[in-house]
Amino acid sequence: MNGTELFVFSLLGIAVIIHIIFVNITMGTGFISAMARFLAWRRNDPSLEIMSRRVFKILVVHELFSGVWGTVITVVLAAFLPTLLAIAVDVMFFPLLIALSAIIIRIPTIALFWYTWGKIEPRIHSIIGFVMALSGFAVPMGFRYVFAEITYPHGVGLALQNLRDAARIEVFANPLYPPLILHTWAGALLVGGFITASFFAIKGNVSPKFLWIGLWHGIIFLAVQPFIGLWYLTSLNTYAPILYNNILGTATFNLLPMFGLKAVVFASLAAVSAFVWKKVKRGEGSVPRYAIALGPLAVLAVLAGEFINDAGRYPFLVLVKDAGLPLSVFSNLYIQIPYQLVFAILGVLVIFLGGFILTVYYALNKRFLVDMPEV
Amino acid sequence: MLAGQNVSLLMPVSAFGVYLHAFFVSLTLGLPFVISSLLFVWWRTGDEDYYKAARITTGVLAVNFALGAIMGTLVEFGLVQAWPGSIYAVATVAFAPLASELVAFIGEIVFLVAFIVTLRWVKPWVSIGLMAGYFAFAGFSGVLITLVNSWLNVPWGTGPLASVLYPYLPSYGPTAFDIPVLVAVKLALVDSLLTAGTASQILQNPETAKAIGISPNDLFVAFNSPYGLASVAHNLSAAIIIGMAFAAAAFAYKHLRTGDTKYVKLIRPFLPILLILLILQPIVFGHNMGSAVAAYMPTKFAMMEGAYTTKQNPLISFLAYGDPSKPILGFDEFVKKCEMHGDITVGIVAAQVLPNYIPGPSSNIKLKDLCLMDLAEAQNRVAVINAVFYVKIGAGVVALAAVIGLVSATFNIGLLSRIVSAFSNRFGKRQLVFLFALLVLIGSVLPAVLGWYVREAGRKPWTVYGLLTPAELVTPVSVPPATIAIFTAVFTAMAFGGVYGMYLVATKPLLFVKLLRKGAGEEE
Repeated sequence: MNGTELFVFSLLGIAVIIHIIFVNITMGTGFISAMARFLAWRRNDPSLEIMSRRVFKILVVHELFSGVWGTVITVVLAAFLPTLLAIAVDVMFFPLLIALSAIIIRIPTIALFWYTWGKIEPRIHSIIGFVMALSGFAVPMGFRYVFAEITYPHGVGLALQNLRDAARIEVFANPLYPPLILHTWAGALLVGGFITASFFAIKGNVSPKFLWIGLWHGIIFLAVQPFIGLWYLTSLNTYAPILYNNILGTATFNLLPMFGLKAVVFASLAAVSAFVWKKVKRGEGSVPRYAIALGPLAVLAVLAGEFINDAGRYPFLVLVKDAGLPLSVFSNLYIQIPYQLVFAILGVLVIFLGGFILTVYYALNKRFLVDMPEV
Repeated sequence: MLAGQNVSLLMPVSAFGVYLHAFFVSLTLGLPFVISSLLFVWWRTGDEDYYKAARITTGVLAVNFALGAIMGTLVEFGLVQAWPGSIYAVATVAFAPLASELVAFIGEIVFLVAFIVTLRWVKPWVSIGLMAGYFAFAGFSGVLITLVNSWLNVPWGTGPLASVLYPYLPSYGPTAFDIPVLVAVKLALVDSLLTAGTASQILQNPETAKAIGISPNDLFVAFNSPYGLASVAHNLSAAIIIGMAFAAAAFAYKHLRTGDTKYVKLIRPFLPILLILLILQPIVFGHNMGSAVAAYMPTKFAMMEGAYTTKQNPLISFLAYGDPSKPILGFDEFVKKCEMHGDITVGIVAAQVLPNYIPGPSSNIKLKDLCLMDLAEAQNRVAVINAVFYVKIGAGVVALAAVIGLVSATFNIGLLSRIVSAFSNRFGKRQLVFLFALLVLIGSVLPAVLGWYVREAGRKPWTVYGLLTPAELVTPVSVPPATIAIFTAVFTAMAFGGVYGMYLVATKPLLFVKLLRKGAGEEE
């Protein structure tokens, strides 16, 4: 890769990783919020409704930015890699349609879930909550086909042989997809659980009961993830040996340190979870200060995992068994990219993102979000 | 041909998506004026009614923003997925506007969330400032998207290219593209369409991208289009008007139902802005828009004026051209221009522009036939576009008259107020205020809906006026109609569910604590 290609590769990678981090937080917290709201109704426990509302605020804050970075990815693809986008919207027409339908359901139900709270019957409201939560999981259900195809072009391979109609169906049979989507879903639930646990360990927002609910969610999926991860890794060995060898450090781009970091983070999560579990005692005990580390550790695990999955294809963009297609194959050859504009826009995005996160955490700290008047 | 089937299937869905997006965007742009003016009066008077109304309107805006964002995503994805040929435009002329749109989008989010989170925790002028920041970015987003859409209407920077194919079209500004490259793209699309039944798949071939090469030398060309600038002012003001008219009608309806005069009080803060915009819209913005259409889109202008044949209309000519003696060119004149092509074929022109031209399936097509065929397709729409355009104008006049009535009913402005008062005594003030507000709403929404139809349908048979047709851009995927029907049902359900959500937010009293207890098993 030359400098320009490396820049585009990195830009796309950074946008994907930021997007994935936000998406994991929103999917996980969305599920926990919906479940807590449902249980509040079924168990006649008002406190769970309070929990649901508080967790939902984490979702709202991060959902907005996951959406922005999703749009950034689309613009980066269209602007820098138009050929790749043209292939994707053709061969992966139906998976993208699934993702698009899910987004269409997801965002309005988020708004409806919040603004109809207390204005409609709990049963209907719980249903809206579950539609909101499950539609969040349906978004990667579509998009992960794209990731599976650029790692192992099962359907795209047929398209290149001019079997386009067959290719559009065959993408659904990509053998890398099942472990990848399960890994994604479990990761999101893991992150959602641990972020929730952390949230209720923040000073002024401490709640052993709510923390415990988040904690056991996180622990369940922490226990499941290594098995799904191993399945994905062995699938990579079969279908994407370049990525597999990079991950294990036996090829040109050594990602073993990053893989090791991920393993260490997982071990740390397990250890901290166990200590917190003992202290919290099923919501009846006290909350240790270090419980706040659970969320950041879970996010770090996602970051490391996604980095491995995306950067591990270097120096290619699309892997084809023992070879690959470099990024230059798909580059925008129609214009001279105005890099000054690109850098200016990226700068503004980063400034806004930083400023926004500071504002939100300041608001959380000042309890604005917890206590703000309800509409 | 698959392309033709897909165009028939996907065009209505795309148009519907754009309409839904436009509806929500209108509220997004109009409600900030309502909220800010209510907060301003609350700040100056301390009257809590204004604060509560601002709070509820903020809830409506938040739900609406989510729906607007989602419909925007739908349009964006829909554009590249249903019309992948547009990826070429996104990767070239729309690169700068769409990349800048990211800043606008994130800015909207930051300011809206900051506004919602801090409302009542900070001073009112800070909240008004945050809302102004939100509007600035929302408006910026509207400007950028309108500029891209305007480029599709008037492909500014392509110079005389369209007029080579269609001699009745004007030149579109100084040339900002490598014209032979554009010709090569067009030929590749047409040849693929003739041989494979669809065209946009050529963009999937890296070798094609290499062969086409760099085309635009000014990536900001869409920003310089006079048609684009006229469209920006016209579209944004229309959107703001609709948002405010929506709020005025909602308050007037509450006044009608309850008889509580506080709802009339709540209309007053933003009514002067609405009045000013409804006066400026036809006199300044609409006039500039009409002049731009007359100058750059002769077939659309002829459709609007029902000019099957060239005709004289001094008033329209004066408004459109600034010259009452100038005739309105009709389709008869355009036909004559097409016939000037004689026996020139696509291949002859292509060989003049492209040194290495290799004749393809389109080589023997006569330019005259192509020109007349597209012209006939445009002419088929004359009756509809003409009728729709004049209904739009009529509805706009109704809105202007109604807003004057509403101002007269809610403020004391001398003679007009006395006349309205006389009617009030006869028909009832509540009924009259609601009638005026309803007419303002109808007179705002109808011209926008019809105007957009004229804008989009009026540029047919092209997607990029004079250059590219929908069949050249549509997806090569054979999409089952059932799939599209399900997808359409999903987003329609979400749109109407969202509108119902806005209604709930605006009208239902807050029962949170009561229902929370009930939901948690505690009896009331």
